[in-house]
Amino acid sequence: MVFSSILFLFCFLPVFLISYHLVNKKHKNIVLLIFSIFFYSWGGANFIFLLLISLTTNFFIVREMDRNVEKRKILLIASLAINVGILGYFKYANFFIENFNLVLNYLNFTSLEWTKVALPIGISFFTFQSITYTIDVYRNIHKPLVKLSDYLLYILLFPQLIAGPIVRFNTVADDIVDREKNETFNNKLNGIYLFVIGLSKKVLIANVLGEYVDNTFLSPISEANSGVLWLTIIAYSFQIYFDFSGYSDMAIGLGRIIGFKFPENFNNPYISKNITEFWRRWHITLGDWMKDYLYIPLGGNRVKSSIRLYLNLIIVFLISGFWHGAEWTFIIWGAWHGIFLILDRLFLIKLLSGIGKLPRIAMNYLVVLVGWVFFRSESLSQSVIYLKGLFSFDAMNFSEILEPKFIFILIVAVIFSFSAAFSWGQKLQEIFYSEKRAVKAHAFYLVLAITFLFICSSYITASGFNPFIYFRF
Amino acid sequence: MHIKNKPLLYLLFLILLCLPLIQMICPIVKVKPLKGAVINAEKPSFKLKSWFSGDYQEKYEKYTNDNIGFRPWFVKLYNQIQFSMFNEATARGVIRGKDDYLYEINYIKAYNGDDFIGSVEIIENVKNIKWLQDKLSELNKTLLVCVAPGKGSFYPEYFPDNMKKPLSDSTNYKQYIDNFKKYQVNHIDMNKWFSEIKDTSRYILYPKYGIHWSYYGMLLATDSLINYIEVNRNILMPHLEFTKMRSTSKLKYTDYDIAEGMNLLFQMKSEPMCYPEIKFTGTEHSIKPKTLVVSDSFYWSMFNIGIGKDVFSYGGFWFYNKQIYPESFNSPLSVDEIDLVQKVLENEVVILMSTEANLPKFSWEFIENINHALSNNDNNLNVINTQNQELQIRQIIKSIKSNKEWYNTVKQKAKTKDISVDSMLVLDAIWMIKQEK
Repeated sequence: MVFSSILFLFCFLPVFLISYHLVNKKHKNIVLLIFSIFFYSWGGANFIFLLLISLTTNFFIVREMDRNVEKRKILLIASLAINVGILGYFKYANFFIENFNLVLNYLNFTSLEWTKVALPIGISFFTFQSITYTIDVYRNIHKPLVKLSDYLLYILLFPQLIAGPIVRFNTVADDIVDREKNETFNNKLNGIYLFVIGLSKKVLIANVLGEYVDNTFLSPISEANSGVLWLTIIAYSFQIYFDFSGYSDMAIGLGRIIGFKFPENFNNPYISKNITEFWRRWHITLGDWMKDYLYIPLGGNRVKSSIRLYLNLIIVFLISGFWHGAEWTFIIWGAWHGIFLILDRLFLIKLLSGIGKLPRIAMNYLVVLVGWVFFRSESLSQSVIYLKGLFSFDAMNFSEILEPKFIFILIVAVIFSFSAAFSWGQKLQEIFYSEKRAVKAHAFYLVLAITFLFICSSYITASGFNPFIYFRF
Repeated sequence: MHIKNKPLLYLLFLILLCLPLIQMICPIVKVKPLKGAVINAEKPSFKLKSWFSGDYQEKYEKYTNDNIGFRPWFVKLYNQIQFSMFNEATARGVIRGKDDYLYEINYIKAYNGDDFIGSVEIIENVKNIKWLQDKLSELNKTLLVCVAPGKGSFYPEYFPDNMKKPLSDSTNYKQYIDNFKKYQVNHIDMNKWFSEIKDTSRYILYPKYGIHWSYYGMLLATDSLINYIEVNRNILMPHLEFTKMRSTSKLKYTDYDIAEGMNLLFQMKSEPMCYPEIKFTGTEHSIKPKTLVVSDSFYWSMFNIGIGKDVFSYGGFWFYNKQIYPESFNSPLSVDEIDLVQKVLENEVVILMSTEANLPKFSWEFIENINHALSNNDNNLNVINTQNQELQIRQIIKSIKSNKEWYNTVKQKAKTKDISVDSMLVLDAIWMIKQEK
């Protein structure tokens, strides 16, 4: 079930909210858990039992880890092994077997027989959340949850279950147990606005641009001219941004309605002046997770040699890329960003500090665009063909995709993506994302939210084209 | 007061969120359904196997999407946004031309010759039509082809620029008309006629937002059709009379059918169109030849004004040579279920009607089937020939009786010949039939 579906918007959500508000405080978590299990089962009926069993096992391991000082490290390893093992098997086994077979074939050996494993939805997200629980308890950042149901709720909470943000345990641990202080009507209304903003980003911008992007990628790339390829990858950069940030906004908005304060996941990433800044603005929760649970354990910035530092960065970014998908294209995408992060530290930031803000934003955007070619392509060979075509500048003729709807939405996307680089854009954002509002302002925003909710619903029910990118992860 | 307003606002949101589901389960508001070929998904039945395969969920989502309360309003909102903001016509096959003239794409293709089936096939069809025409003529029956006007030919100036092409002779319309003339097939070229009177006509002949001729245009065509048959068969038929001329911008009948199929939120503005009040005159005394019409949808508007009853003696309407009307209004009846030769030869006139966009499949196998059946049925024709002659005699006698002077002359002749008036009437009728031949 996706948020941007009629089933969720007008069946699941109203029934859930009414049920949630009708029960007393003691039973709210149970209601939330039941609806969350149903939400996951709807899209992953085959995996819910496996998920519940593995989570239950992990809960008891971590609880024991907290109690038993002697076996603390062993139990940590066991918990991590279960989590990483499940992720590794379901998400990466196919990839490794396929590549191993390629090597075997190259050496004239017989391939291994293998039945492809299906990918449980959201596995990358809930696995990482589960790991944060284990490590936060291990590091004594927070005590483990007392009730199994509360732990299951933390992992399976439907607003952020299948596509983030990655909510670290210590961020919401107290709210799971008692969040009454957060359940104000001000928060609920702000949650509604955030949800509708996210829905609008997804349906009115990302989905529309996605149609045009898909048309280009479905046709032979080698036949597209340079102009079309540039316009397509620019459109894709906005598609993925509004798709993912839209979903994050919806998740954060829903969380806000029921008293959870999830962390922000995007902060105008395209106004970044370098890749280092980009990763402080793009998929923030993944970046924070990688920093706290991978980069710092590897030594972080405190390693003695520069080579070791750069190696750590490359490892982190290769794994980040690999986390997005079991394909070489994602690994190359991760490496691309890792290389530029290293170049930033070496000389790039210093070199470009002299030129103005806007040129640096433009240059960084170009670097990110090239990275998106790998991210979007179905294969390495397709990405190579795409890049060749992109930089051939053979013909800048994109009239075949310049339809009024595409142009309009692209302009809107550009404005929303880059306006924060200017003071007027920042002011506008502050107004729309403000937490404190007077009642009259709430009335105005609610009318706006309802209007856009119905516009988005009209798009969803009438257009029939509503894929979601990050489900692959 | 200040603190309570936020809960009220939240409650308002919740109520609005619940309304579509309530409407779906228990419709409280009457919502007009969407126009067009709308097939909504049915509610799937739950099976454990289909749950685990994900099939149930997929079907249920489709079902919810198609049947959620107020869906027609949502669809209309989406369509209106696409139309007003992005110049897109969301109905399949609809093209938005200049000044918001709406076309069904096949009419543009027909005008441009994009659907051209080739001269060889067209000549073959025309020859077959001619064969049938001659065969029917032997039985004193009339075959007539009526080419209804096409929107592409009528309004080529409003085509979108990217759909304009140079005029070509390789179009089905042009080739059919040229060959009808060459092989002397009875035909009325309403397409050409409408274009000729387009600028001088007092009222709009082809609606901006409709697929078919306007109501007024159809009435002119009906009158023209009756006139043609009268001249061809030398008979006096009922005529269409306009009793009152009414103009309105509130479009009726099929004059708004394309726009209606687009399911927009707001009605599109239109010039006033004419909807005269009509009646058929002379229905008691004139001849109403039994007429079969095999046609595309252009004949519907004629059928609906009662031409079948008041002028064509319930000859029947075979829609695309498939469903038979008016019988199919009560219970479906198709052409496959009847004795083709008998039913065709019961009629004195057979009309084949098509607009240019439907010429690629003209005459929907009617000619092939009837020609084949007739070729195998020559013995039966003699019997039918006699029956037809008797019918003709009766009709001529009726005409004589309706003309006072003529009838008196016949009475005088009967007296002179010392035979009954009835016998004289028959003799005169037979003489007239022979003269015609």
